[in-house]
Amino acid sequence: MSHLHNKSFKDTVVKTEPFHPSEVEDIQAKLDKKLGPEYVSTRPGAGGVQVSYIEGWKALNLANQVFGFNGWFSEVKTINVDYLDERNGRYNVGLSVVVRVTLKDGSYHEDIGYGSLDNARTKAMAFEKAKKEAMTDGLKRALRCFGNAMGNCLYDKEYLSKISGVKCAPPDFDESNLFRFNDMTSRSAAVPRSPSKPERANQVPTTRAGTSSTTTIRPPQRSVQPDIPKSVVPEKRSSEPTGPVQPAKRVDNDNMFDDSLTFSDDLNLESEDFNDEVNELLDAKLKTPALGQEGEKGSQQNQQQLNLYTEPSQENAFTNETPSRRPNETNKKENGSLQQPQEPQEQPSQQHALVNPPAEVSFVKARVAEEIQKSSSAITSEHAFNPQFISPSIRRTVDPTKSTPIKRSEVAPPLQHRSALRYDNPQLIPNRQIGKPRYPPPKRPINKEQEKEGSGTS
Amino acid sequence: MEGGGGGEDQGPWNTTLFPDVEQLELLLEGDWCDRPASTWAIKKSGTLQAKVEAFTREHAHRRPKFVSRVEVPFNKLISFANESFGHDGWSTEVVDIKVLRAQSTGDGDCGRHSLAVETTVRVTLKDGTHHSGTGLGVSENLPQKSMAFSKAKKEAITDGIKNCIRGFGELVLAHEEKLRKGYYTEGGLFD
Repeated sequence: MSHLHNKSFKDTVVKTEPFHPSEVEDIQAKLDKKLGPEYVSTRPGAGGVQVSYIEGWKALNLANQVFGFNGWFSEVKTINVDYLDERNGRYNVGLSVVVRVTLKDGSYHEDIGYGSLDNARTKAMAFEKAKKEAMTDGLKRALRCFGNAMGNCLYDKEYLSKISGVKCAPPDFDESNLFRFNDMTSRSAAVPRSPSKPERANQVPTTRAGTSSTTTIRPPQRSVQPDIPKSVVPEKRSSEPTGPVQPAKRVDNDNMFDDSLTFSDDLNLESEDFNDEVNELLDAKLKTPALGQEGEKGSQQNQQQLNLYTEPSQENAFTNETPSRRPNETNKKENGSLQQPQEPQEQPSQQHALVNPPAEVSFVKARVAEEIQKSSSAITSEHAFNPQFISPSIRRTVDPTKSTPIKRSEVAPPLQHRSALRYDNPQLIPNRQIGKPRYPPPKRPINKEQEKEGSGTS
Repeated sequence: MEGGGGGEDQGPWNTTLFPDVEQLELLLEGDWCDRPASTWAIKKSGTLQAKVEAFTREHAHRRPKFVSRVEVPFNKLISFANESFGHDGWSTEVVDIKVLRAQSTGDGDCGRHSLAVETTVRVTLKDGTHHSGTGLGVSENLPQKSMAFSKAKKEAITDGIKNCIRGFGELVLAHEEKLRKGYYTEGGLFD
């Protein structure tokens, strides 16, 4: 029948280079080993016999493991369609493929693979399945000539009778070992930041108003992730009133909203708090006088803090280290705040702050922040802010380290809607279902009992 | 013929300065067909032959009386070849596949298909020594065409490679015979 000979087969000159002598020994040692039970699959064969085989993808993995990913290649030498029959509009096809597997050093093995499909609706389906099947079959058979580890041992009856008794553990699924899409992106700075966010948001309620002057860096803290329970968010407002006291800092705050410094996903534009704050800041800016002697000083200082904030990588490096250094550090930490630290030479030369950002930037505890700023003493590890810290005084409703569905019953008060029943004006009932078409239509009346209950109790 | 490249009026070249590589290859291939190309080949082929004979001896007592010789299973033969030549020391190549006879009786599911396939297989050692062998695969009265083809062809290839590998043992024996008869004496390959 039709016969395809791979014309490029002889012409392709593949540069062969011998394996390194140590490599050859290594490969030979691997090939002499017999396969473990995790590679051996069984299927019922003809005559009710269990046939052992190796799956195609496992064979490929094996070849890559043994020869190296660039240590071997495969070619199709010929494809020979043995028959293509049409019967009642259905197609039967059977074809054989000669596959050659070549190693880097030039040694090769060829073998035949066979693929077929009966009663295919279309020719395309028939050929697709048959060719793929034939190729896989041929590849496995060709690989098998290389040694035991490539599947030759599966023909050894003695081995098979023993391998069936060997148990193998199911393969672990390691989520951290997956090749993910974001492996390609280079936004390494943004990545370590995210885990610390929920904890910080949970810590916010403990914030005492005006604990430190460094409340100016509030906006980034404000980056509330949507999965944080709403109940937490409004409490943050309590720390808000610190602002108006220090108008000079406000200017700085405004600078923080420069587009170049904030990531759009850091800002929760939907939150009311955020909008309020922006308005307040704008007001404050209008109120501030033109930059005089004092104002300039303030702005320089602010600029410096600004610079502090623009170095997320360093700060992350520090905050990531601290929890591992002191995992059992306890309740003393109240709130983290960004502090400019430990650089004695930094203080006198504030004019250069714009040009030379401080070498090291870190978060410290709010309790000691002011002190450190004044004395400009070196920051010890005790003073470092621990973003992982969880205050024992707050009841947690949600575990922020896990992503699990939250049941309504766990979060919402259960009898809420019953108390919201209004019989004077039923249209104001929030979850009113009377007269509402249901989708999907219920299989059985669901809410009758509840409503009976509701009317009964009232 | 002088002034090679510059001549305009000269007719087409009659001599090929760069002959087709394939022709050379054919010549080279012809050289070492069934003749050992190096002492390495003789040594390793001897090892292979010894392994096959050891296996045969070991399993001789199991042989039923009506079987003329002990069949070495294919997987054993591959193992022996890998052990003696090394995994990078030998290569197999399917040269030709021929369908000798095909018979189909009946139609559809109740059909009976018989097939005989002959293949030519060549095994080449890394020093260039090679041996070609033919294999025969037969399938009789199989219900599906695909089964018939699959079985016959695979059997034929396996048989061919088997014959080839076994051929190397005979190659050694033949070489020893030639040595004894003084075949290589005048300016031969081996001292």
